[in-house]
Amino acid sequence: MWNLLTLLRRPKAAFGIAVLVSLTLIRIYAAIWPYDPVADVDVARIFAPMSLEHPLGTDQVGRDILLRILHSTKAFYFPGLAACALAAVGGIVGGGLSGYYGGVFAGAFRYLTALITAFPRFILILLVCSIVDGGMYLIAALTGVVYFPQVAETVYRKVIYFRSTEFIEAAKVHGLSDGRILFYHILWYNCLPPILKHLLYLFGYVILIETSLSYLGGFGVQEPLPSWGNMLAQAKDYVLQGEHLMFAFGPAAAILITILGLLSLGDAINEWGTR
Amino acid sequence: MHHTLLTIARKLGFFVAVLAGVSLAIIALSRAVPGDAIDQITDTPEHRAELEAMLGLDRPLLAQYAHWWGGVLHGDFGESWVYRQGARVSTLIRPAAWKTTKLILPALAATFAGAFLLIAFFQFDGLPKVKKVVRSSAHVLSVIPLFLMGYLLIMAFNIPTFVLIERGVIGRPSWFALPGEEAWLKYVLAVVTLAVGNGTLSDVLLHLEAEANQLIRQEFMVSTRARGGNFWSHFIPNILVPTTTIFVNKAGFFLGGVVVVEYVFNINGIGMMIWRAANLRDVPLVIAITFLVAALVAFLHLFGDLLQVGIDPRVREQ
Amino acid sequence: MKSRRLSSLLLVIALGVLIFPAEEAAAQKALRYAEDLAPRIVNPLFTTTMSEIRMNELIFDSLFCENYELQMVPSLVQDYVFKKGGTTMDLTLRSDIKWQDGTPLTAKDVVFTINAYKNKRTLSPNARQVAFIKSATATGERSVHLVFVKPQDYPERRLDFQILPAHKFKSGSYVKRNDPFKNRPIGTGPFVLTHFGDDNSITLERNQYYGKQVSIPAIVMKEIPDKSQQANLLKYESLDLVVKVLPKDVAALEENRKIELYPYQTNSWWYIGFNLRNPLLKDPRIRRAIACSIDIEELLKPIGTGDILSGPYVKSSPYYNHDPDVQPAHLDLARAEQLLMEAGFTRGAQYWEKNGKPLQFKLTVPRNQDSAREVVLNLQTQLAKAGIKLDPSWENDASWKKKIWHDRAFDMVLAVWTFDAKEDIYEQFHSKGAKNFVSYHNPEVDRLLDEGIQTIDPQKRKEIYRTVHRILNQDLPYIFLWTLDSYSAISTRVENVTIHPFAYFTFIDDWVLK
Repeated sequence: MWNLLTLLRRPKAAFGIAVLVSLTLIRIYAAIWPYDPVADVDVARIFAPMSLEHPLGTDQVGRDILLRILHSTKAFYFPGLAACALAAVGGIVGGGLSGYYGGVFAGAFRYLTALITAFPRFILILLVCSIVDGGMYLIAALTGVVYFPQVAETVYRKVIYFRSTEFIEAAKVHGLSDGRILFYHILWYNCLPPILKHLLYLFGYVILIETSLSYLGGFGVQEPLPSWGNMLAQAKDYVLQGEHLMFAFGPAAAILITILGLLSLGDAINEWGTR
Repeated sequence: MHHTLLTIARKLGFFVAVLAGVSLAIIALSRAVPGDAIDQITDTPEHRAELEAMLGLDRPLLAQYAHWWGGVLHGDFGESWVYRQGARVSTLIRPAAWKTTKLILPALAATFAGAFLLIAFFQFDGLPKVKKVVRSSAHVLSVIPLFLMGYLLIMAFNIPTFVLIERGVIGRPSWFALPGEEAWLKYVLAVVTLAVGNGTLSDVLLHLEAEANQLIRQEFMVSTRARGGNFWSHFIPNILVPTTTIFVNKAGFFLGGVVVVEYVFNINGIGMMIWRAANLRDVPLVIAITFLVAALVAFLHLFGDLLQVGIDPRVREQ
Repeated sequence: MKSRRLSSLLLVIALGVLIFPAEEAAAQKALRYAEDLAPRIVNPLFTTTMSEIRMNELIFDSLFCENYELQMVPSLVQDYVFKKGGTTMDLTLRSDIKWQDGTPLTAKDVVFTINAYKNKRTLSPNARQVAFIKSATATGERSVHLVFVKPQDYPERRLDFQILPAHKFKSGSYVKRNDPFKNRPIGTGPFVLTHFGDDNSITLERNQYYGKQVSIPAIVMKEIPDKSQQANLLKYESLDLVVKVLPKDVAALEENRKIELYPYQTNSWWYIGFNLRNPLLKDPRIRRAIACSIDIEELLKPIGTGDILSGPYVKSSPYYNHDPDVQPAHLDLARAEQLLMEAGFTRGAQYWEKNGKPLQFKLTVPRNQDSAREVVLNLQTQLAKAGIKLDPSWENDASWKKKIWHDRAFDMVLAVWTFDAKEDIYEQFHSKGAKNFVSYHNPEVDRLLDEGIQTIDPQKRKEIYRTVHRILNQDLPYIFLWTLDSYSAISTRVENVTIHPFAYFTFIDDWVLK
């Protein structure tokens, strides 16, 4: 059916998949290779320069920067997937059912999504984080909730489009059930690429939002656990003085590559799917 | 005609319902937060009871909701409790809102203009290598987290300028040093950061390009091109609708990014104000700003909807 | 072709940006300083933050104030009659003092101020400052008769609250927070507030009615919330003064010849507080074991220099107990082990355990405390090495006050207390103290603290408080950590600078701006 190879031939997709695969491998490594952030603290080697033992140097309490960058994947990998799952389920179920059946459910769903999109999203996440002492999963859940209206919108559009053609009537005449029509034919065959794109973007946003939260209010992943966001947030004090730049550029580069990969892959899938 | 009016009326009604829902949600949220304003303005526990009564903190939720709406319908958003004690919230918000508008509107314009320019550039034949470089740079730059981009821009301007001043090559510009002085350059850099950073430009570029490509491939566009007909007169109206959708979606996102940008560039806009107010538990200020922003976004959605009704006849039929 | 034109256009723009505004920014004849947070209200009745206190110093005056030797001398007062141990005092105000709108200072202003503070309906957080005064009456145009609640020894020190102009308020009534006075405050001090900026800045100008000749013509307070940018702006000469420099910026600024670092000793010290309601921490052996498991010097070193303390006062305080047997907490792992074993713990693989549960505590830290992060991480590692698990958690100011002060929902805290010149630790350690969230209760300390308030003989007070210091050192409701050397950074444009140790701008009259 779908020739995945044609997808892989696109350079954007290749890059994105490489990033995704690397992330997964790093995540597996991080799961196997234990990192105790508490034990890594060593006052004697504060801001040690780059060396074989510490390829990116150490931070302001002596912890190895490269190790922390690698282990930061633990912070967002599964929460990011959780956010995607939330947005996917909410968006597909809500958007799909609204488009297919319409009626009261569609009205109520539209109201709910209108409420969510009306809120300044980042501020909502900020406010909830200052109330509830959640960790990365809370941030991911909030981002997923705040983002699912977009997924729902895409799905809704597609379903409405199909309703406007005679596709559904024809399928029903063939004896296909509503569920099969909706989920298999409409969603799977037609919506999957744009949905995947939304989800990949969302995964990237989770990382960026955690970064902004760490910078602004020290929310996000809490010390001593590492995350690119909180590493950057601590590094900012030194960046302006122009010292200890690797402290900042290490995590920044990691964020850059990861998000670029995710965005590229998402876009490639969408292009490939809607040709 | 009758049908269109009904549609418009329905959408207006929806808008009002959204406002009502949003305000209730915000007021309820503000009561759930741990800690309150009273600790911020006094150390004396004996005063707590009176201050609670004075600030209305002891009222039940619906009473507070009704009281608040009563004020709002007169244009009275109450007084700040902590941020600027005793100041009227509307007086506080006005200059801040203006500052943030000065940031967001140019940023939105810049993002979309930039995206369109890039798309137009990519449409032209030739210069494949340059196109590749431009495309990759746009994406790479775009993905930098907002505050880092802000810091980098500030450093990029401050450091060389300081060196030049020290050496006596130039006099001290009026905008130096960022972000201390209130200066046009500060706003320009803030707008650039907001327009490009946090994946915004990338996102808009990718979305728009996808929509544009999809549009161009549609049969009526292909036939127009084949006929030698006017490309743009068909292109623009049809790209307007998805653009508005992306625009409206992005507007909500911008309002989040504005908090970080204002903090980095030391601009006292709505973003900074609501962040401070939330930290200080200054409830009237938080509620007022959140509500106004949500109302604005809801209004934009309404506007986008109505625009769609105007442009796209298919939508009218629904 | 197109790209060449474009690139040359960009080049022109870049050059233009740098060179075009080479118009010198108008010669800055103002002292520009930065605050993290602008004052929320400019009215001494409702002042709560340090930035407000500093702003008040510029605008208002008090009856008595400190001289360079930190003795209280008359400021608005010309003459006064008071007998040591007495309950009344008669003040004669100076005749040459004018408010910043030109009206002369009268006794009515003093009486109004005291009554406004005391008035219950004002709900002033600073009402306690005048609680020692029973009544104030104007006995003449410029004479005030004060009656104290209890006999006083040195009331001049307590007459340091700022005086407000009666004619600017509705006479006789209480003062509300939204009183328009805050928009155009009037004082008798060296600077008058002329402008609230849109960017939350405040501009002040030299008070033309001030008695003394003041060198600085104007002051601008800018709000720069990002502390790391304050030092930067100072370096670039966009600011002239940074009140408190982050320790990591001290080294960089020291080398700068255009900036001078002044030690700015506030009366503040760091501590680790134990929640004495926690069943584990109630046991003094566990607290002592924790104290013996940390190396305080190693905690301090990465963030700066300072004095390690053994009790609730700064080392230079007359109340500090310097006896050789009153020592700060120090590392003694052997003793820690012994104490924990006595308390019934056994050393597991990683942590000490009892009934299968590891010895662990949550450490709550205020989010905005500078340098606290490094201390917490090092502390966590030190305690982990000693077999104690520590989980840090950060709270912002509002939730801190709720969780720690009200709910007392914590195990341990790491925080800083700041005191004024009176160094009164009653609120922290008396069982009725409003800030005694550790739930410390020692009847002997209560008795001593109560006695201390009553005592007016300075020698006796020293003895009392030194004893309290000793007891606290032994009881260990806190692990007293250190005072951190802090610095103010001021441009060399400003000369003849003396910074008051606890206030700040007290001596700004004598600063010279080049």
